[in-house]
Amino acid sequence: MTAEPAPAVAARRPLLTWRNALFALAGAALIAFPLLRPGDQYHQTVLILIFVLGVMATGWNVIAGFTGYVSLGQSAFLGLGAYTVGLLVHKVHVSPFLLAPLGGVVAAVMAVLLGSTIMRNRGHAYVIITIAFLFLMQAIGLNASGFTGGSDGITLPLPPWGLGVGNAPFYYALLALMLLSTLMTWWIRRTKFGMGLVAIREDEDKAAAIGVRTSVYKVLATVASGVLIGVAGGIYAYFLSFIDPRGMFDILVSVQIVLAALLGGLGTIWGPVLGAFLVVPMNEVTNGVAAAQGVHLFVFGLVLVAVVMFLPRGLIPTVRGWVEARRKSTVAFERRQSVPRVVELSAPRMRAGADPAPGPGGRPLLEVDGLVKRFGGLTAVDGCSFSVAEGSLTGLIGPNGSGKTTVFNLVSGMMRPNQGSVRLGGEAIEKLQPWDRAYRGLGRTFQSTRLFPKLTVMENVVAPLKRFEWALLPADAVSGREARRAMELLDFVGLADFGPQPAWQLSFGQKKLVELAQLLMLEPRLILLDEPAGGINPGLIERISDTIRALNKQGLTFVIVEHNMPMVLELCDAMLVMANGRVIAEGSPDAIQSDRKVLDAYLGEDWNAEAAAEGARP
Amino acid sequence: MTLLVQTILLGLLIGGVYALFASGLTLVFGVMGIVNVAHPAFLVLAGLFTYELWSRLGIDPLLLTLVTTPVMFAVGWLVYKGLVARVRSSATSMSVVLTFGLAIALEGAMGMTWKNVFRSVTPVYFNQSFHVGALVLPKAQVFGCAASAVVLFLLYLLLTRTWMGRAIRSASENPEGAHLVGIDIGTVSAFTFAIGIATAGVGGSVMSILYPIFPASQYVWISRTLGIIVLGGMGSLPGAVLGALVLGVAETLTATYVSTQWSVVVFYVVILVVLLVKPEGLMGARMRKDVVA
Amino acid sequence: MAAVLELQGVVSGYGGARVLQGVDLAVESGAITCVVGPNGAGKSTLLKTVSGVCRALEGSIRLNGEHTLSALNPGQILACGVVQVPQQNALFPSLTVKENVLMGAYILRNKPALVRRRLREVEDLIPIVRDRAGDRAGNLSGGQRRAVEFARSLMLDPSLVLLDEPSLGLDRKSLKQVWSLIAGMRDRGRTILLVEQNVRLGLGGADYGVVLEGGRVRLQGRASEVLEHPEIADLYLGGTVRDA
Repeated sequence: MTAEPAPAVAARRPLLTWRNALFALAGAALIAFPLLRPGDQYHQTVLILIFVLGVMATGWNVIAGFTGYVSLGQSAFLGLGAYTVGLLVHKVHVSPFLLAPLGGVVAAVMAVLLGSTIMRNRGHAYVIITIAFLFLMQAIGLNASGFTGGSDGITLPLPPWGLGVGNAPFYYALLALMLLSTLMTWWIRRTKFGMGLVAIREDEDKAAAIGVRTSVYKVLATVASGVLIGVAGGIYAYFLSFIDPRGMFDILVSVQIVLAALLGGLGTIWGPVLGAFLVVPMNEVTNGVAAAQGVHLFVFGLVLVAVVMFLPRGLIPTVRGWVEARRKSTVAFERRQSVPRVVELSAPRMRAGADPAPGPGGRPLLEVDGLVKRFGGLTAVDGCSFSVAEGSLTGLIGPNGSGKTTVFNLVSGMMRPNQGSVRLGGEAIEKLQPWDRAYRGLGRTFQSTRLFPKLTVMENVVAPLKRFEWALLPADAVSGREARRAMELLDFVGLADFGPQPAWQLSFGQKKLVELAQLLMLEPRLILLDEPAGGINPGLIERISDTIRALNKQGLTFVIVEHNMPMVLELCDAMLVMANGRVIAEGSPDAIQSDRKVLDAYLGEDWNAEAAAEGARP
Repeated sequence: MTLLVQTILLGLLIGGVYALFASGLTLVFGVMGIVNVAHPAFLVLAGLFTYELWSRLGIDPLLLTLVTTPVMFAVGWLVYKGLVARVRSSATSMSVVLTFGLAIALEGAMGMTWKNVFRSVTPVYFNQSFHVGALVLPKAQVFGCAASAVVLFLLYLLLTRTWMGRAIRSASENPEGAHLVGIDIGTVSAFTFAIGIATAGVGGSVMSILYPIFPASQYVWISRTLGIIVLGGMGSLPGAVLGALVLGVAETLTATYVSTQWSVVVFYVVILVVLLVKPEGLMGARMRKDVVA
Repeated sequence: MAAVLELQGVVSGYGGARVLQGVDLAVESGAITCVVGPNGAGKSTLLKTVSGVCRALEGSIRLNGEHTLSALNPGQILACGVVQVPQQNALFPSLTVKENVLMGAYILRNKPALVRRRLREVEDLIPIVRDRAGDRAGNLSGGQRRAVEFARSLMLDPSLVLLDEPSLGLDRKSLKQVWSLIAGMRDRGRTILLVEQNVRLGLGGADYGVVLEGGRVRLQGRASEVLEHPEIADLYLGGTVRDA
């Protein structure tokens, strides 16, 4: 997805801008239209179709634009809402307008079902599943004729009001829904929930590792994307007076949703609405040109292909890009060197209750026992056991292929072991999800330094969550307190001025520091550092070592995988050496350096030089 | 009992033809990682093209495959160079959207040219059947399945006996290793895509004698071919054959013992169940995301 | 003895990182040269730069006096007689052994007679190609796969063979077989440049040794001398090993 998210921190823009004036004008025009031209059924109908598509496209934007799960089954929610009302209205003699919210409920229930089952698949598998689901809904509608009326469809009672009122109730109801849906997406984007969704889109595994409970988020996103569509479906059914499975579960409608959202700008707030205003008239024009359906589809397909190929970000972001490029931005974000600050004990306060007990010999914080991990025929970790004392700086070294990164992955939750246990503070965590481990105070950096590239540095640092609370989800993405805390952490790593910069613009070393600041937001007890000195210049290595030491003095325990021997031997107070998937030596750095076994592991087992020679020498 | 045997046999014959339809789709996925949802639209296109030639020249449609195949090969090559090659870098989910757009555009183009009329090719054996004991086997179905078998065999020979075929299998399995021995992935991809569409050429001709051809029929074929390659394992040609036979039988059994309308639901259910439970299908390779230390 | 491969001041890396920071190296013809060094030193990058997978940012690489640097793509480098066997994932598991070996001669596919002749030569040298010709490569053990990989690389009758950690993942017995194959290739006049994680194994079997650290060459010379050099422990453990 190449969408550009709106900034999470709502900038204080002046209320009277060109953009807002334009919107107000358009809104007023839309509201006034049926009053000014009450007899114009045709245009009212077109606008109604636009509103329906607008509701659907803004909903789709939540699951596809924000969260990155491209669904081609979204129109199923419309059909569910329509059929709910269509079936109930003959049993419960109430106005369909009152029944429409039930359509939303049914859609929400289906969304929960879908969200909890199909979202283990990503990428094209997910898209294919949504297609199959939509077709299945249509088939059930067609074949379960006893229940759904089959291909004959269902006729709804005609509205009780006279011709004078015409389509106005539908018009205003759907216009209100469209605005409500847009408001909902705007609001979601501002909340922690929305930020979590974007994090999932940018890097789902990383999001999980910093405390985003992705399983719940994805279900909620699906519900948010579908519930208003269900309500719209109920009203739409009443408007049409007749519904059938082919019309209500139509894959072409799903494709129109995608086109509308893409045209307008995936991931923007108003893009899907703008797209609806473009797609529906386009439909009308091409439908009218030739009697054959062919022209309409041909144009449609070509436009979709063209948009995906040439305008993947959509109109709004592209135009915005042009405008900004021409304005010659005031701030030129070059790769600036972060100025190292002298590390005084301005190291941020860490988790209350962690006794600063620096040095080894404390009680064990992390205990790994008999870990085994196999990949096909290869056993990467073969009965690995060790313990890490609380408050220590422990280095984990070993030659290539010894299993160090796999151990990290097993401890942090990216993988599950075939056998063995991992205990954090006495509690077994090897079966927990990555976010649950984050909540218990476990943080982990990545060799390749994973951040959320399109979010700003500030948003990246604020994204981690210390615990999962339903009440937290609707809270502001960046609260005052959190922003201050994030600034404190960014200041600590020397990147205080980099807050508004998009993360992808940073240099490798700067990203490392931001990743560390991210972790510190979690107030962890234990941090796993994966090659902190990899790929950066010696000056920064010094700085990172100082930072780690300062944090350690506050009571933070570190386990560091590192190949840079001088750095790790100098920094750590306890060492673990791995080879062939298990720990072969442990002790102080001095002891390790003079341990014959360790040197053997690095240079190769005590290879019988003669045996090799007889094979090799001519 | 005879009904059961009859149904299963018919299902196998139908499945044999399905295998041909799905082969191109799975081949392209194997090499390029793209699900070409427009593949069934090319099948229908070839079917309509066959109809044109048959209705004007009166030549048997199965013989017309000699014409449709090279033509569709050329079409595939052009489509690859003009379209697919430019979007290789897109996210995989957007490539499905892209090929869907292509499918819809094709449907539109076919609708403009041929109108939305049901067409059937009716060669002389159209209504005739073979009678083997108590079993009745429609001739068109048998010939169609035989044609499929021939084409699949030729495809097998191509993939195992020729340099290009081996290059295709290598690139499909291990693009890095293929690059190291000097295989040009771009050319191999173009060739694979063109071959995929060429099989749609044969498939379309076969389809024309067995099924009514009209532009909107692509949707039911999308469901069928997707179901087949998902069950067989996306990217695996033997998997596609196996999946096609299984689903052909399953669909025919459902049509006979339950109802015709529900028979296509088999495919949707298979897609959902397989992707949720065992995404690599019967014979596909699981895409490893684990990284060894 | 002539140097078949000469690197001068080579700076290289990927993703913007400068992994090799000025490598000067001469690889002797008809001998086994083994490159060792701690992780991150640039061993793999060195091989990839020679074979063309990585572009050298600075410096020159000369093969038999001609330039290899930036002028050629991997396909052309193959045609010059330089073949690389990577660390892992070199074979095509669902293709048979014979097919895998044949793919080594892909760029010669227009010369069937030549390909057939080479295949026979390779079968004679590495028996597993004939013995398990019809088996799927994925069903072979680690050592057997390595042998097949070597066989494949020999189809082009290369003058320079680059081996990236040939001992990775092999048990003791397979190691011996693999090393005797390597020696066999050298005995027939080919030049071998290999990277080895297992220092004692690598330098024990090679003629010449090179120690890479921090993207530069720190030690080089006859393999036996390099192995005995006291600084090796320093480079690997950032300090001296006090012999117990």
